[in-house]
Amino acid sequence: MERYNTTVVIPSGKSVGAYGGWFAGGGHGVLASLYGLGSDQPLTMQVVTADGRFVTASPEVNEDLYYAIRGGGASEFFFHTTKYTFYCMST
Amino acid sequence: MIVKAYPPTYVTGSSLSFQSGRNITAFWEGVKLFFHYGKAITAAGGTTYNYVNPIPGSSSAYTFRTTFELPNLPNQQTFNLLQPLFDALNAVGISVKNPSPSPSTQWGTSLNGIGDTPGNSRFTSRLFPRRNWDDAELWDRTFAAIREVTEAGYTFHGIHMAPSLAVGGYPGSSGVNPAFRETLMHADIFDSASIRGATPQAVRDAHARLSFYTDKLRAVTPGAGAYMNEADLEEPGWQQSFFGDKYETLSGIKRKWDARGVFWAPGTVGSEAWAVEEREDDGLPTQDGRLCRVDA
Repeated sequence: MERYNTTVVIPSGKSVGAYGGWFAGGGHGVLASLYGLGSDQPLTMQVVTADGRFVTASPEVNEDLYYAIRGGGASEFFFHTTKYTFYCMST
Repeated sequence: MIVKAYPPTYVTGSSLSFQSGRNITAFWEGVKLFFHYGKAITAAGGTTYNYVNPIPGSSSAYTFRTTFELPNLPNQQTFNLLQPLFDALNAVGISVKNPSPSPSTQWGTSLNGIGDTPGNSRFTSRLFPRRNWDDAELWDRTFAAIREVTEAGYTFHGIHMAPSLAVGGYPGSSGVNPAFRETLMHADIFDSASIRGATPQAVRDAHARLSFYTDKLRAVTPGAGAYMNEADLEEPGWQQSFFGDKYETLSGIKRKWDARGVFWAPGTVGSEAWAVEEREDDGLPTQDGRLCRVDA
């Protein structure tokens, strides 16, 4: 992310995909003691649920799904979509 | 998906390695000093990535190696942070020199598209709580268990990290294993023996032995957990181990969003309602077979 003068939290393992099962099960890396887990990073997700609906999960919409997806495990709550936006926060 | 982004974060790296040689007592004292020092590393916002390995073909020789990753800590401060550890190691007879830190190689490099080689061996996981560092007697027992696992021929792969709730930041509450919030170290226990071609009974025996030694780590970390992404697929009490006291809440969310159980995988929320049946026995858990409801 050097080109964009920013940092995002990803796995240390170069063959581990970042925003699939890694974050959904927890997800640790070299920034874990500073910025937390992979599951601490998503602010909004758009996913396909078991009944085929395309829904948004965020702190405001479908909060329970948002809670579960962040660390509650891959493979049992959703199918993933693949568009990522990295949102800069002032901390 | 919208993900947090942070100011540019530079990771300073350092490393340490030594092996048992003639002085096995000093080796274990040194490894114990290192593992305890992880508390200072995580307090500085850092992580370690380490291995204690039995030397193949030897029953009593071991190697230890670790990297240190300190985000946002300049070289000189990283050097200073590590110096007390190097002093303590030299004091117990391990001759090691604090190297000049440099940019972490865990960060920003590329394999140019070449992936990892798949393996055919098993491993288990444990998240060690902070309280194990804060109680001298418990720390002695904790390290004794780590040593016993390694002496049994397994590789102990530790990662010091402290992804507390405060560190995780906005919006706080999530479905992640609560054991992560209390941890100072995650560890994998690797059984280096390949299970390729082994008989079903040999696979079961090897797993029973690995589980027996992982139980030593579980015994010194009661109520903690394991990291589901790196854990034993046959983790005992996985509901508690992977999800802690969040399991009931997560089960309710699962029932609401997937009442018919369309999504299924072993060790996931609600998975105990289904079982794979009528499969060929290879001694391993599998998803390759008919998935049937477990009758209440």
